[in-house]
Amino acid sequence: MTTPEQHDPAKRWVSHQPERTGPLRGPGKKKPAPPEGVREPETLVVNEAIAETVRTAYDVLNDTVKQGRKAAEQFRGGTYNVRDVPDDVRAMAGNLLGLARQLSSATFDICEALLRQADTLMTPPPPGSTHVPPFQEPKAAPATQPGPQPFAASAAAPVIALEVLFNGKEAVRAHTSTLARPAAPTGAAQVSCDGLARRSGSAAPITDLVFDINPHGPGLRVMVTVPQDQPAGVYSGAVYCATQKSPLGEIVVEVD
Amino acid sequence: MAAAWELTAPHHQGRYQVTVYQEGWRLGGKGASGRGENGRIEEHGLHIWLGFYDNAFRMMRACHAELDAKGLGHLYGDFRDAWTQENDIALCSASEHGGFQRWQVHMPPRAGYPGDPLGPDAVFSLQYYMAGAFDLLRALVLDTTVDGQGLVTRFDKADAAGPASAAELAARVAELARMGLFASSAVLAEVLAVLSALVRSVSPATAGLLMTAVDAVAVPLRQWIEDKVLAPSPLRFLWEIADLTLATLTGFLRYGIMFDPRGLDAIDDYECREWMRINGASLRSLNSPFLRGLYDLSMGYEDGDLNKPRLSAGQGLRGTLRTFFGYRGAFMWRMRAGMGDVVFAPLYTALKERGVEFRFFHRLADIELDDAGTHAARLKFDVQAAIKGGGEYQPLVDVQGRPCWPAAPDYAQLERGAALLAEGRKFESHWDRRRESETVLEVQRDFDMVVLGVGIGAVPYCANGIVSRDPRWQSMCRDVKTVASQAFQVWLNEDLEALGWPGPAYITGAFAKPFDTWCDMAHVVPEEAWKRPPKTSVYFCAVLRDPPEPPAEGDMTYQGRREAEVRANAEEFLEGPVRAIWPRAYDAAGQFRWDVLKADESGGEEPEGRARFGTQYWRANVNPSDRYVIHTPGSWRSRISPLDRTYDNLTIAGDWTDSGFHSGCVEGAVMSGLLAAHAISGAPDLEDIIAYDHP
Repeated sequence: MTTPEQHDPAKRWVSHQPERTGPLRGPGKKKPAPPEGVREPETLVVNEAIAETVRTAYDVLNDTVKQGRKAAEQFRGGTYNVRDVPDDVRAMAGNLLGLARQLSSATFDICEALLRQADTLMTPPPPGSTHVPPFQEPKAAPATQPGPQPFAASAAAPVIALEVLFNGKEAVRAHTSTLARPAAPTGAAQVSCDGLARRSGSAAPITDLVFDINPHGPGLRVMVTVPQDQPAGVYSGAVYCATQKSPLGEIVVEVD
Repeated sequence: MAAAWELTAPHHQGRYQVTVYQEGWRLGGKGASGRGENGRIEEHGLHIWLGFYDNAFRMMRACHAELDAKGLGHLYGDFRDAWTQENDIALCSASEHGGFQRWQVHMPPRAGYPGDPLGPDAVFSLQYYMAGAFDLLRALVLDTTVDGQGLVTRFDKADAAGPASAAELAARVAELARMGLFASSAVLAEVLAVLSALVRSVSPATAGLLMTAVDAVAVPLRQWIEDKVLAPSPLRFLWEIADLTLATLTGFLRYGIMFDPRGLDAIDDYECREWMRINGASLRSLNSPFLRGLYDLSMGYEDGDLNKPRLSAGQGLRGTLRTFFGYRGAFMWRMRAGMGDVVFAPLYTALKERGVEFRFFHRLADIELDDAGTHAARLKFDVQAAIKGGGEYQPLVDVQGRPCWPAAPDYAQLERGAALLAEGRKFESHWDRRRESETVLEVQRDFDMVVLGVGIGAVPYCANGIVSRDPRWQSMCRDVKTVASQAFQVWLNEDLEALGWPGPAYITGAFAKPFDTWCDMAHVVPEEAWKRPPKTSVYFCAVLRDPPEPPAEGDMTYQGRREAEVRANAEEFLEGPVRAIWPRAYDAAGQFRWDVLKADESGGEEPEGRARFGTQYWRANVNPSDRYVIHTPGSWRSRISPLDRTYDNLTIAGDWTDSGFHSGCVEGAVMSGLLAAHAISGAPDLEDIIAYDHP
């Protein structure tokens, strides 16, 4: 609390009238020069950007191959000194690191070119319409426990793993852990379930199910939102995908 | 405190007489700390100052310098001694082989110090950040280590170790080949990410065929690359950061943020991970330890529910960009003692020297407006305790020759002090409303201007006269969310290296719940007053989930119940997940060695087993004013600026206001305090508040 030292006691003190009441976040008022090293984005088309990427990659790989060939020639000629090995290895490492950096840079060019070309088509989805599952908590699994297998390693298996996660009511368990593998390549967004209906007695179905690729293991995962007032019972529903008519299986959950 | 500091600055020539009314016995709010048994430091949580806290550091550097000039300084020496510089951070992720994998990153020191004047060429443009993003990726490639193994250092070691054997050479060449495969696969994955991002944006009416085709091919193909090539690589962490960075840059371009007058507010209605996902980030990256660590550090979980990570995209990116590209000197700065000791004791001392008066044990009960609703007419306070003789409470105690805040009030200075102690008064508990008397301040008679500086959680309780009639304040109280937090500290008889944790004392995030963030605080132990000092102390903190139903008003058992819950959480945590980081803290039978905890030095019998944890420190930050402010999507619209003149003699200050930086942190609070001072006095210039006009 503040008291101005000298003012008319009959007149109430009021706050300062600011020039503005919020930050100026846009580039309009301040026009600083770009920092050194920042270049204006060039207008690239996708083909040029990809061609440039390939050229860069071949240049770097060519240098690396030359280095290796030179070492091999020296080795065959008996002039290769084993003391040169670390230098050669370092040079190759440097080349490859440089390649990684330049490829990253080229990727950005490609991204930008793609975005520019597709600009007229783009209508970003509104806030709240794109589902992202919560973080998967790391667990200190015993060292003997096998780690998650890469998705591709199970390509020949007739089933895919399904992890069922729940949101909302806590006293719910899943009785399903696999689905049939789709016959054709299928994205997670193409998998759906209309709802889980109670097997006996009437109750509102559970309709909020969102499928995603399981980021921590093979197969899919589905987030099932169960309202707090969902009556107890066993609920089930068929799972379909857009690439075939036959269902991939059934999800069964039990609400306590 | 920042507003008081600014309003009493020398350039005002004493124009403003400031009185600070404070509940309980200490300053600092969420940043308050106290000295307990053996002079040990007891914090609300883990406080780290980031290297971009320019306004906060500028204030504290001036404060320390002013005390020094008056012969009151050298509390902790120069500010570079009062804060220690830290450039190493560590993150944890679930290992493919079980247990945790530790990612250690060294951020390069940068020129200058936080709080230095900004050069004329300094810019906060998004173009600058985009250039910096690539520099950061380069630094990460060179400096990241995974479980102690660097990516480039292995080649550097060749010189020292002498000529490589054939087997070593073959291994290195194989590794180089993997790096090449990794780099090219990452690029391919990113291109596919951009394609899938575009597809998700394309209107089905205009490009339905393209959407179906690309979604069917690009998404599974990218997933295959991630799982087959990128996920098993020790470089996965790099790829995840690259993926998130490129998604950010893609989003900047796509949403036209660089040219939008709203800056990053233009995307602040999106959830941060949702926005990254829309712009091509993979689900794997959205679960990366890097991103999880940022959410943990920001306590970005609505209701403290780990299933509801919710941080707004605009402020999330603003904070991340400033954190990684705006720091000066060091990436992080750790206080050499408690935050109360290093920040609030010097501020209190300097403000007293400037003539500021302090009224402790005053809890604001309401702000009443005049009939027309134009200004604050009356301030009602509950007086929690009266000071003996009517004088001013002397709040500081001496520990190791330095002024510090005690963990409990000095009852000897209070009227009926012994009785208050016997009654178990909890002066900082929202639910303990016991008071000795009331006092009412009238405008023009007792005050002219008001700065309301409580936490947002307390506003409905201490400004009901405004909230009940002002829809904007109602929206602010409803939409600016807070979370409860939990923290515990242990003092150890063995250092962390002896317990099996290698490396320097860096802050570690993204660890197991419920205490995902922790830090070795060995550097503060010398400031405590142990006869036989422990080897180190370690602080843990995280969110604390709210109960389904809020506690009843006047429920004086609530805080105790939550503290018991935190204690149980901490004990279980030490018996469980800590095994992954301190393996040698467990005996041959696999039980936590409780005797590794240093008991207090009261001379009594030292408890054994789990009971020994009772000698350590833990707390549940559930008081409305102690709850941590988060920035959920869209909440920026409900924040009110300290510059708002709806009430012409009232302004607000705190990290919950529209301060320009909407995160719960010291920097946001100080910026808000400076704005409050500007609202009253016209100073400082808004252009002098560093990064207030940040995009």
